[in-house]
Amino acid sequence: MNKYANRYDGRLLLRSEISLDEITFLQLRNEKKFQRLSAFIQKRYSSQLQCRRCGNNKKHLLGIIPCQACKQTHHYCRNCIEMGRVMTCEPLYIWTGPPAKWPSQADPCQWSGELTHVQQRAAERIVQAIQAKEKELLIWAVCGAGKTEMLFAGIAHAIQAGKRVCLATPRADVVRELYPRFQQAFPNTTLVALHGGSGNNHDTAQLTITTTHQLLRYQQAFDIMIIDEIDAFPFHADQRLPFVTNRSVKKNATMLYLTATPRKNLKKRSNKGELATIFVPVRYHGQPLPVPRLKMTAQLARSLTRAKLPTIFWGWYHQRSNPNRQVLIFVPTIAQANHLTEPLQKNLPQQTVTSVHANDPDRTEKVQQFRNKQIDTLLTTTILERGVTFPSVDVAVIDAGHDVFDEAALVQIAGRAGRSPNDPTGEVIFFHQGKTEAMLAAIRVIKQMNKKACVINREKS
Amino acid sequence: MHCLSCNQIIVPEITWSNFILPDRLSNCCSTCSEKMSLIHDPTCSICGREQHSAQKICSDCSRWQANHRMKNLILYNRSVYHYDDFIKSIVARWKYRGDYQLYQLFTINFQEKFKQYFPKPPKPTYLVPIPLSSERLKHRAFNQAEALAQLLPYPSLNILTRTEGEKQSKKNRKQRIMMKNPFTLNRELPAEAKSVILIDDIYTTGTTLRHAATLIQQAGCEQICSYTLAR
Repeated sequence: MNKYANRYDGRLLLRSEISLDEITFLQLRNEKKFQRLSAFIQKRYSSQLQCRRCGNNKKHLLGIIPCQACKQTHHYCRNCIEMGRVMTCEPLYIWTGPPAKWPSQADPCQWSGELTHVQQRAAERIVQAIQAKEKELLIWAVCGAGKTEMLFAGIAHAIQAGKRVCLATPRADVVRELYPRFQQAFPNTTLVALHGGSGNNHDTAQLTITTTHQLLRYQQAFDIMIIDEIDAFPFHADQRLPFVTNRSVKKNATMLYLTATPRKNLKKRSNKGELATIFVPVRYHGQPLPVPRLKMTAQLARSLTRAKLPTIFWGWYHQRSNPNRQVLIFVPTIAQANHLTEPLQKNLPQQTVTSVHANDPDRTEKVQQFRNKQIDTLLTTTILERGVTFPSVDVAVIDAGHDVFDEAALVQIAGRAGRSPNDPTGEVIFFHQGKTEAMLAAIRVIKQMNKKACVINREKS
Repeated sequence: MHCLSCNQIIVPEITWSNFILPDRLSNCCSTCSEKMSLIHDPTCSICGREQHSAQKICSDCSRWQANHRMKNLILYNRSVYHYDDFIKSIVARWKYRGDYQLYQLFTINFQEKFKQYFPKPPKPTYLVPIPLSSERLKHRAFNQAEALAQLLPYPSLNILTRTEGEKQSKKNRKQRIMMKNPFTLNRELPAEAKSVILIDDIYTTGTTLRHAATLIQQAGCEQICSYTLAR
């Protein structure tokens, strides 16, 4: 029975996703081990339907189908159809048998690295939150603080206690990157990595690393939920993802939010004291964050329409303190990334210049080449704003006043510089045609963090 | 209104012409409808594939014409779209994921092109949508050919039954052409039926449509054409 429990506990599945033959399934249904749930929820006093699996209640995403299987015309959910069609005659099932049991371990964490003083402080706070079953904790850590390592102690504690842990992130590349690191750190724990293309989306484990979308198939499963980059797209843009995340945790679960740039609502709650917060204002190498410089560029629009970089940019480019660093140039749109590449290459004949954007099929290779220093200058849209680490770069933002560069984006972009302990400083410069609130706020936040870091360092010594 | 394909809100552009004569409301935004490429003349006179060579019929069709049993079985086929990557992805979402409502993306073009390709069909004309096997129908919950047929202003007849297991899309050209006829006639064709238009989603080799046409010809109908969404 434990076999089934570990496989199905906490999951919300269509019949076609339960890989049991009809006889076993019916038997388990008779034993009340599986409960059937209607595909749509209808709130009282409201005609609005909501998909039970993805929380979608938008009319244009609720389709109507004259179903030939049940001979009735009814609804189906178009929003989560990529994960199998939910419709009125196609109910969902949850496991109501005995709860899953995971093998107990005395010392699950084999990670032997060392934490800095500041990381240690945060790690202890996380352990405390997990032990005390606190509801929520915000971990406000700067880019390059070493967030993953800070989590290990807390996760180890949870595993020891036989709890189920989930680390959810909005992006599939992050899942792929974290999986081997967790495998090394927790070699004796069952671990599964889920994302759209992973092909093992029906595996379950005590430790789950997943994209937020894959949580669609979970209900009341996890004791600890860690949400990485809670401010990143699509988590903050799609209201259904918070719905799904909240459903996938147990009633008295602990939620940990990781971010370098919390959005307004989290910030507000944190400032009010409603949301417990731990700051990690120092990077793991201990150096302060590079503060962006603003550069007014009156000719910006004109030079961009002529597919040129402004003269002021070249002035900066040739006077950089360390000309050996690679240069990462952010532009607001894909079209500009494409247009500016060729003229840039002409201006820098000895260097390799290329551009990358979300629709680029060679995206991963180009990023890898840039990391290997085969590319000297990379033009990019905001896709490289977070999650990527290059050891030694200078960062320029062209037209920083554009709408795509909000406060969070600018802070993240500035966080690309100075990541390596061998070259912990880097230049960050915003070329603009008039300051925006976003630029000023980004600089303010970075300075604030550096100030907090000073205080902590002083306390220590 | 939202685009069925990309979920963007469709904001109709007001011009003098559509201010006076309103356009038909479409469920497809302009970006997506530009991506769906229509088949334009000149086409192969039999299968309706766009071709720019001097020949009237394409190489595939001349092979069909060489086969005396299959010759002129289908007078002509016409299709609306090129079966390119974009249409492929929409059709995959429609058929295999089961997003039934996506057929509305094609409504306007499917109806307009029908008027153009079949200007004056003899009366009475019947539509025969290509059926699915009963298991597949139960799994998919709808028949895509029927969904297309109901867009057209002629009565459709479900007189064919399909008895087959393996998925067609997993076969190669030769396997498909050598296939046994998967259809049977489950009812008589109405005696007055002069002309039949077979409806299907995709014309690939034309084998399926010719199998269906064989039965309908045996049932006593001489003029058989076919109309598909993509070629």
